[in-house]
Amino acid sequence: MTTLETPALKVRGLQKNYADFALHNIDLDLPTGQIMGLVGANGAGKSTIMRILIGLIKADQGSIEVRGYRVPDGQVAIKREVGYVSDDMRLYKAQTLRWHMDFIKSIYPDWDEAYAGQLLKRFDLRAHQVLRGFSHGQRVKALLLLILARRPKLLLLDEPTTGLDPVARIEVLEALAEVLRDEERSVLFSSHNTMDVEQLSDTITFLHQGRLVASQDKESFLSSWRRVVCQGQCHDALLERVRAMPEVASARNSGSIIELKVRDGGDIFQSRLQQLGLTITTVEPMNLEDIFVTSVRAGGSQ
Amino acid sequence: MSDQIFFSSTDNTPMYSQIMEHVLARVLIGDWRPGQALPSIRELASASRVSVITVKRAYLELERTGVIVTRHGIGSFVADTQDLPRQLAQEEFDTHLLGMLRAANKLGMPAAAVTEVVHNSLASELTAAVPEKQATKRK
Amino acid sequence: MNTHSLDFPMIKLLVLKDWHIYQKQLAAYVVGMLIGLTLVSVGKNWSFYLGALILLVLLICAGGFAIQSSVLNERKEHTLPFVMSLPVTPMDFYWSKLLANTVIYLVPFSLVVGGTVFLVLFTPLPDGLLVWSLLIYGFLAMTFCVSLCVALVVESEGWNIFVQIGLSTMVSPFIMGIGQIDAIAQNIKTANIVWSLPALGIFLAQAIVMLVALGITSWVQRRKTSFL
Repeated sequence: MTTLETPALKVRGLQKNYADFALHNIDLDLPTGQIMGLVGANGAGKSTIMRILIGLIKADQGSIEVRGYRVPDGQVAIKREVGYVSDDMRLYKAQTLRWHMDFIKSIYPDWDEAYAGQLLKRFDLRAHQVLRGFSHGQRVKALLLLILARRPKLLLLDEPTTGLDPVARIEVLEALAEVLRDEERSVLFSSHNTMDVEQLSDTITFLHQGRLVASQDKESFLSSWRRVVCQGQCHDALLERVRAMPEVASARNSGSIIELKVRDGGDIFQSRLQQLGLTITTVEPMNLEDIFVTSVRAGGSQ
Repeated sequence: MSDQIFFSSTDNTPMYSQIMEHVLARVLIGDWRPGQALPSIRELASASRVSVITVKRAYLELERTGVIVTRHGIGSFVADTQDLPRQLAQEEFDTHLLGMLRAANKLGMPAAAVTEVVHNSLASELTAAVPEKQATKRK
Repeated sequence: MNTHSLDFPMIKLLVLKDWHIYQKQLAAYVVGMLIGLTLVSVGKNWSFYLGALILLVLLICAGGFAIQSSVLNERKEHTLPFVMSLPVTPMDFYWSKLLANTVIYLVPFSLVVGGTVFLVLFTPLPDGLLVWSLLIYGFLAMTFCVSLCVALVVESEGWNIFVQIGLSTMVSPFIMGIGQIDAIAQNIKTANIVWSLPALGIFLAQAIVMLVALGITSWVQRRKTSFL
């Protein structure tokens, strides 16, 4: 029985090995009612994780629970409650959207025809057009319509906004935001567009080369990172000492101006900088993209 | 009536503080009166296409500064307190003061010089500054 | 992945879906086959061979394209993630494909076999043709079954095409081959329907090949770790 307390996702020690790629020891937690953004470059393993969660691929190791059901044994129950859309998913070219809607309707008793009608209008789609004539954006919206109209409790969206024009992107994000209204519904979506993730997600998970770089609630994530600009007599030894500080993820200088990207750089950190003879001129928040690139680079060099 | 936060696409201010600004503005304008219920966190998040946790953080900060009060299980309301506008003005003053001190730091001004400048400005502009207060509110 | 708890209503929906997607093409084959049967029944030598050729070609094509439409295209056109994200287990999916193809193939197959039996028995055509032609149809059913099994477990399109074409080219050697077996060949132009031992042996071999192919395929399917 799934309740509000049952997490939407609980993954422990997920492992999957391929000849040229591997997922290493992935842990994920998504409480019900939250949106998690999965950020990573192409090939980071986002799609593989999604496919494992929905049972399209078997994991080599690890315990995976989706809405309280174990993967893969509970996959039918999971697939009933989860809506999954991926970048490489297509519909039947020779059939109309209406045919697809009726097909889904015959499988899921929760199908909401009125809501489907609203989505058709909002997405500006024609139900009686065959899929062959759909543009990429229309195809993505059609796929989303098919899952949204059956009101799944968990949405697994693999790159839902990739390749969309700005208007379609906003339409898709609006539809996603609507899901938020219901506290029983959760979303895991992946993107390499950090802007989309930054706006909608409660939790951010960074993935790089099959490893989890970070997974944290967005607000504390954003507020733990700072870009610090300081001034001072800069020489290599000083820069080395700054780089050696555990908070510093990146440090570079241009003449006497030094730019640092730091994590958990509180007052103590700042006073240590001052002890090195540096004057802090700016301390400002960083956006998610900057944080992502910085942490990936810092992780890679360690 | 639609309650939705409009976000700037160029402003680097974090989203939660843009939400705070928006709520403050609507309280100041009088859209939301003391004691009135605010939209629920989920509602506002959904309408504004922003995560629940961000709105939650903004509400928490607003609660900390005394702009709103949250009653558990019921919702958030605009604070009944009479000196809300005063508090807001105080906050604004603090922000500007901090900005001034930073600028002084860049200029390398010693503390005495800063006090002197402030003192002189007060003497010459205090009478003129009061009616202009509304106009200079937003930088 | 519980094999013993197949979801039959769901499998039925998937079979109906495959049927719907293939039905127009299937209708065209049926029309073509009716033409072939008519030609066979005319009673002239040239029309018999032309009609028989049409029937053979259309039956091979109907089977080949059924596999193409329901199994290979599902992979190639990326509708497979869509189907697999429906509430089905990989085994439900596998059985739906086996059933859908069997149902789809049975339509042209029973039309041709039934038509042939009718023509052989109720027209001046020699009745001895019956066993010989059923052996050929049995061979075609076997090539269809093996092609389907390969398509279900082998992802490579190249290998699938190789197997399908390879098996189809075996049809005429097979026809010539059974023509060399006296017990079968000597009865073709007579009015006797003789179920000779070699003929029964070939039927049995065909059935065994099909069962072995299905067994191996089910075994491989159960051990799969990727269903894309």
